[in-house]
Amino acid sequence: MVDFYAGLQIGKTPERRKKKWYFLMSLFVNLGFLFYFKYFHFFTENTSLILSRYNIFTDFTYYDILLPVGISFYTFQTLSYTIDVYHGKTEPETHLGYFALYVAYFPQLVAGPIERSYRLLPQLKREPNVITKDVKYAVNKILLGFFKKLVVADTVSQYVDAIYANVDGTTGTQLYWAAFLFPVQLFADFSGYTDIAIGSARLMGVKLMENFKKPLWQENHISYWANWHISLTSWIRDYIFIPLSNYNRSPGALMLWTIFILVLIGVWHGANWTFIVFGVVNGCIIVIQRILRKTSLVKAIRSNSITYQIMKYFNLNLLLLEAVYFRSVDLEMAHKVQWKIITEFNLNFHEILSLYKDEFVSAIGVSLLLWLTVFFKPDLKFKYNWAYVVTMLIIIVLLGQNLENQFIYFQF
Amino acid sequence: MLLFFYPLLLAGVIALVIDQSFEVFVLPKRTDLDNSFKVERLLGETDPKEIPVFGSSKGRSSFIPDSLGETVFNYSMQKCNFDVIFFLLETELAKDKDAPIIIEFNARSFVHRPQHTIDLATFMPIKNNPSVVEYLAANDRLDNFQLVPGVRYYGSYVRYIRSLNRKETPNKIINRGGLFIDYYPGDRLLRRFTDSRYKMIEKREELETRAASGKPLTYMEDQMLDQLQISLDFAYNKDRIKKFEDMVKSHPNRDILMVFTPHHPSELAGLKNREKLYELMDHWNEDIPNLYAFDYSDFPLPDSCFKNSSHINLEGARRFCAVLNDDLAHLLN
Repeated sequence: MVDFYAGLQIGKTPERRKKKWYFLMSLFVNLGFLFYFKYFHFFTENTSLILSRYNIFTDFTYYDILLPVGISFYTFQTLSYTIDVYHGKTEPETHLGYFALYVAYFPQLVAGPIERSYRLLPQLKREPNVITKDVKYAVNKILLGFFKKLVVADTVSQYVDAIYANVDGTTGTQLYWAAFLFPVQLFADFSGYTDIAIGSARLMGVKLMENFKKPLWQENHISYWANWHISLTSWIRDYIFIPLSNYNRSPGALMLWTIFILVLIGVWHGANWTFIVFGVVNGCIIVIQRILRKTSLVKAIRSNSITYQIMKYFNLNLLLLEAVYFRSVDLEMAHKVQWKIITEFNLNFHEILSLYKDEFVSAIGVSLLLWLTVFFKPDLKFKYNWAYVVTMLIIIVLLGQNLENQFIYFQF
Repeated sequence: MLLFFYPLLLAGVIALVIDQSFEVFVLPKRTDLDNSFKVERLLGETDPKEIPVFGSSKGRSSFIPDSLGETVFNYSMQKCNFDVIFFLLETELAKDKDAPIIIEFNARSFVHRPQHTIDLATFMPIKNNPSVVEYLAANDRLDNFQLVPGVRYYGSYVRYIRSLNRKETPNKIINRGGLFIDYYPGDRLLRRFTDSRYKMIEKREELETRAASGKPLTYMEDQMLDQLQISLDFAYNKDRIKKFEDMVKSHPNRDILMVFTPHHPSELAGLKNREKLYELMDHWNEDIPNLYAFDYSDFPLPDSCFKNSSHINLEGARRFCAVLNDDLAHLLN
């Protein structure tokens, strides 16, 4: 309601000062809600800790705050609307019903993609025109999403969860494989949800943006982040990074902005030091890779297809070590996992299979199946598209897990 | 909408063919280690002399049927606690027989979380067993799709196929439902397992202290504490215990032998309410004539008799059963 009202007022008033006031009001309310529900405890706990070092003792009241599902997603979605209206990129929406539908559009409400108002609102207002091609696309996409979630993510999670639940009792080699498989699980889980959301929306004639493009097998973190959770990274690029870099474009400042936005992406996921460190490490690696990519060594590596693939594998290993922060409960656990991986990793196959052998073999098997889907994409012009549908249905029934696991990104 | 009618029809036909093939070719190959095989066997077994052993994976690796008697069959299953044992016990007590029943019980036996403890694959195939259907429905563990041919094994296919691989090897002994491994992980690896348990105890202390001081735990920490408490403490669930005692009392002709099997010291180190466990066992021995409790939790076994920090190995089972056989002889014969 606040954003709807602010949008209308920003559109109506000719005075720049008043526009700014409504814009700031919208920002304050949106970020205030987000802060209260998601970051309040983290803030008070750490403030108390810092103040106690200076012998100032505080007694904050702790509330048992229930986090609204998907708050980070729809807060960013409504923020983009207000910012776009303020900058004159989009017209304010005058119909409360359409605005509410834009904010709470059910396929992407709880876990994105975070849509821009200028893309989604016109589609919602248009008379739906669903043709056969849309239905085919939607069904293929939904089936792919179910495959990713029920077959891949839920199978891989059994191995990853078992290993992470027993960090002290497992070896560095076993932890390496759990850390290796976790990004696969996360990708299958999140992109699976996105595929289902995109497919469901297409059945109603609405085209949502793609959120992933083969992010894991990339030459560096720059291209990883350009292909992972695209709706969030492009949001942060457009609304934060570009304004910041317009403000100061010096190389030092750009490095700082890069680290800053990666920390922001980390913090967007949750109020925990693990996410902050995850952001800092990612930001630093991007800065280093930006510097290195202009060197003759990296150019030589890129020019040879074998060394280029090795470079991608190296990048994947960096990613999985960082993803440990994402999966761990706290920094202590994350550093323990990373240390064990670095100091104990070996290629002893017997050691890998000595614990949770069945879960490991299944996880690797379904990960390979996921990799195969890259080559067997549904082609709508293909006369035998039905074969894809039938194959997917059978694979889901045969290999799907009946675990009733929630989507990981629902917690954000 | 005919666009997807034929693919769906075809997928349905293929699923039915797979379903039937699975029933004809895969299910008959289950061994007596398979959980669903055990459930089916119990439902159909009519030998009045059979002495069933119910329990979890601890029971499966501790009770050697050959050591305890010719008519003993080990029905113990992985992750099986009283949520499942109630069903097995009810089935067994309904039979017209007098043979005793051995039940392995441990600190987690009375945890009541049907969503976690009742493994649906255990009860497949269920189509011909109305009592199984009724039991699962009563515990909110019956998914309607499990009654639909073609998809009823959804989520379980891989597990059944995996279970076909369970064959006897020189260091893996299978004996009437029991599985005994001749394996010791070595001092280093076992210490790793036990250290892990001690770390769990430390973590639990830390989280409990924080929670008690009024500081909120994160969602993941809260889940972790819940899990740690379930894993470490004796689950003294009055309702479940009463239900069990009532069942035992209503069948005075059947002796029920509750056996707390040997545990590694690290597993008992975090057990905060051990006195409750002893009280309960004393109460059973004193107040219920046909209920006998035996405590072997501190049974002296060297580390070399453990497969990991939770289960004894073949040598451990042999030593334990030799003593158990003597202790139970007067009740089993």
